[in-house]
Amino acid sequence: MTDVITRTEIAKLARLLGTDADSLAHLARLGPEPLAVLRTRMSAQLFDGLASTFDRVNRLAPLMPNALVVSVVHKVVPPGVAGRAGGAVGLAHRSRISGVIAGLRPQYLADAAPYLDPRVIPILASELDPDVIVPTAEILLARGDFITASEFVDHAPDDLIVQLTARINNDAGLLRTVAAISDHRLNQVLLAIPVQRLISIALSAAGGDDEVVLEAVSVLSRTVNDLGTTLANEVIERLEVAAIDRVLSVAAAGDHIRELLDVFTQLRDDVVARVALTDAVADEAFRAQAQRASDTDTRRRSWARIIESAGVHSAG
Amino acid sequence: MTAPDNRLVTEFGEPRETFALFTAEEADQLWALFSQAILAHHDGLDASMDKVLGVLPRLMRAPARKILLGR
Repeated sequence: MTDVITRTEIAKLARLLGTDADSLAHLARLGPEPLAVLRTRMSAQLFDGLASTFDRVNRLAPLMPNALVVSVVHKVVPPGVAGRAGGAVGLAHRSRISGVIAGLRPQYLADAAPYLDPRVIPILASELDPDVIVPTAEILLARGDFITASEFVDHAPDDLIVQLTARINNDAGLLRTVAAISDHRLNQVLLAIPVQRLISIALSAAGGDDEVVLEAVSVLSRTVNDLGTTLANEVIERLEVAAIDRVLSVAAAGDHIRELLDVFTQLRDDVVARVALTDAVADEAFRAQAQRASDTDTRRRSWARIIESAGVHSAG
Repeated sequence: MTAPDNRLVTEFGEPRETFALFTAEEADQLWALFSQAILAHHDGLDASMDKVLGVLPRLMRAPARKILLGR
């Protein structure tokens, strides 16, 4: 199964090119980095090629007060066009960004957001009012557009991240949004969120559908240092053994055992003992799969701790 | 004998080692989609500018037309 970050990159490229992600699924063999390089290059060339058109729109802007802009945009500008033009026009008239965005319907903003020039998202994200953004983010999450949501969260200032995670109660959507953030930024984003909120999001995800469980495993496996240790232990410690068993079974079916072993690396002995109590660990097929997935010293040690603990339990 | 450069290497150049990872068929497919996307974006913007002119207040239309369309 293709990992979350590679799938995210394929989806972003497909969106840029106006095609279906399935038609680019064969590119998964390349992994995320080459796809990100290609997408960034194509996106820059595409938006730079529209610069003269954006410039004409920019020169029109001073003639139009915000209320007229909002009215005209709602009436005749498709969200995709507004999204593509919005970045360049917004940059040229930064003092007007918040006023215009505040006038646009959240539904329209959610439709337009996927088409923004990615290069302007860091600048726009810092200008956004949480009161305007929360309803738009809720729509994006409800419709499953975690990629667009993640692009904003990726660049949002810490206080906006805190507001979003405090005010949005779609835990599965928040988890999948975070899962789409690249490794190098993931930990910084997670550090901005209060730990208790992170734990509640992860616990909800553990009870979610299989796809959400796999993405939760992916997030936990990519969370490092003290936060990674805290999250892995606090979440697994709070789950019933049956719920842990389900996470293991879903990870096995979804080819996420390596990620699971990476999470287990961070567990305390008493939490390892809870994992060892699961039916999955007693299952021969699961053990064989975990053995095959133990392809690094760290993963071998991680699996050995589980087996050792399971042996102690079965003997006792 | 080395294989000829694929379309992405030819068009984008650097980083060559990254674009060379794509097969010739993949590069052709991606370049064709990219070319179509560029046209679609231009067409979408042009069509919208025409529509914007149609709903602007009457007094603004002439200066707006001059700015947007140059005439």
